[in-house]
Amino acid sequence: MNLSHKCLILFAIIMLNFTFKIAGQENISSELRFINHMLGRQNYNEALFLLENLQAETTGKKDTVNYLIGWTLYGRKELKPSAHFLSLVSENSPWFEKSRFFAAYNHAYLRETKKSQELLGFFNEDFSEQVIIMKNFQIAGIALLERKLDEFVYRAENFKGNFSITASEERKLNEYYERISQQPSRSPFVAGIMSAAVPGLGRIYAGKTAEGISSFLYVGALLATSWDLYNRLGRNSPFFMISASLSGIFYVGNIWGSAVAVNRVQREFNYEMDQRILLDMHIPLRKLFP
Amino acid sequence: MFLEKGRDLFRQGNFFEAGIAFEKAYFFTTDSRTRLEANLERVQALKQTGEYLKARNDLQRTLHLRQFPELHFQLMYELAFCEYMLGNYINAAGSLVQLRHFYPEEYFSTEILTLHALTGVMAEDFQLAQDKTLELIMLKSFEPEVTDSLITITTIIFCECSAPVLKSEKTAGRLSTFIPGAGHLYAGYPGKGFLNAGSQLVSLSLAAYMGWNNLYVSGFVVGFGMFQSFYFGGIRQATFLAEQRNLKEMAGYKEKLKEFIINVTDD
Repeated sequence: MNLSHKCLILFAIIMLNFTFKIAGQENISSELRFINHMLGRQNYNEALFLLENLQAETTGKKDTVNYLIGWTLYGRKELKPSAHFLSLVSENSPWFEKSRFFAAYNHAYLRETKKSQELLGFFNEDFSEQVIIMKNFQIAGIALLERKLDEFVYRAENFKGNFSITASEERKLNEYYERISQQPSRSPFVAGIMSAAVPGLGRIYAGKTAEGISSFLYVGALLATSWDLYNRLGRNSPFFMISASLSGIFYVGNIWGSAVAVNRVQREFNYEMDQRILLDMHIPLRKLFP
Repeated sequence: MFLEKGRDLFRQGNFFEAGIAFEKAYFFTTDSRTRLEANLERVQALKQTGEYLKARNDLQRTLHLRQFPELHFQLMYELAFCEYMLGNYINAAGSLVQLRHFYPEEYFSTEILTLHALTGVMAEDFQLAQDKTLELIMLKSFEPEVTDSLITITTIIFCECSAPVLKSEKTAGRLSTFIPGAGHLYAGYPGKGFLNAGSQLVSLSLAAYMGWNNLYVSGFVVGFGMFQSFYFGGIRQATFLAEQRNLKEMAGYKEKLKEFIINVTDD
């Protein structure tokens, strides 16, 4: 075999290898297109199955695969693993900004606000203006979630209302700030004392007027019964003893219930606020990254 | 290629992966016929895994491909079937009416008439169910005596007189409002009615007894407190029991009709 033959064979091997590589890349690209289609149809289980099989085969498309896995898990409401995969997407990927914002949002939803802020901290002045506005908006939302009102005020100074994607949600965050800062802080101890004085008054103080009236009526009725039995049958009557014991249990229970009601009302308020804040953090993200 | 792979997986009983392969066949082809075929086969795979909602949604995306009548006909049948399995009986009936309109000849098949009759039963349109069952009997071409007897049975069991007499929930509530326990009795639960009436009587007696002994406040709180609870609770319970009774009776009747239709189909 002369030199020219050897060169020809070597050239053929190189070309063959090159062709296989290109074909492989095309296969992966079309597979990714198909997975995107499955995600569009909300076939998350099937998309995840395909992505798990694809993971080992891909090296050049790691970012896209990580993004797609993260997005699929997000669709399945598995926020923790979703945040993990989305945060693996590198800066060179076209999916980077979307992945990073949604990873941060997932952490915020899970109340892992430190991680969320770390992820958002990556967006510096080199990024586009809309990314910086979104970053500021998300950090303001996180501050409100953590009830760090001073930090929210500082962030809200940058709410200009001229970026259509966040404008209405900026207004809403400001409204939530007003509501949170105006929410009176009530003491469970005071509620207990009030219910000891007048049954049900502590619940009214806690903000549960209907519960307060109802408590007043049933504790009042029990106390009146005991008084009646005491007057008619005397203190040694078993009926009086039963009635008085019941009245005592309900009276003390009502005091305890009033103290608990203060915390319950606070929890309900916080839950409602958190859900609203999270929703309003989410809407602009979906608008910016449809 | 994907279509063949899907069929292989389907034959092996791997319906999940078969469904994906059929979806790939659907996605990567530009040929409308192949798309329709792939979609129909995907629906078969989804049906095997019990995903009727997904199957219904997938069917709807090729509903416009009417240039392949035999496939389109099958698609409409599958759509009606999925709607039926999802409990959307009105939608299933609507799809079957459309199917009859587009394919009047093919409509007269055992599967479709059975499905239409069952849909009628579940939608509580018993006249429709009867008509479809009669059409089914005629289609099956039994012996004349068998046909006659089946027609007679159909006319009897689908007749209004065979349907359960439903109790009015409002009447049950009203009866218990004026005569304690009567609503329960009307709903077919005499034991519960007597128990409720007895409880009301005992609580009133207690109030009267306590009042008689000058325990006015205690009598009012204990006696009337218990009485109002039994009284209003009794009204609510009578309404609930009437509703439960109706559901139970109707479910039993529907089951009987469905069994009859399936027996006719299987014979």
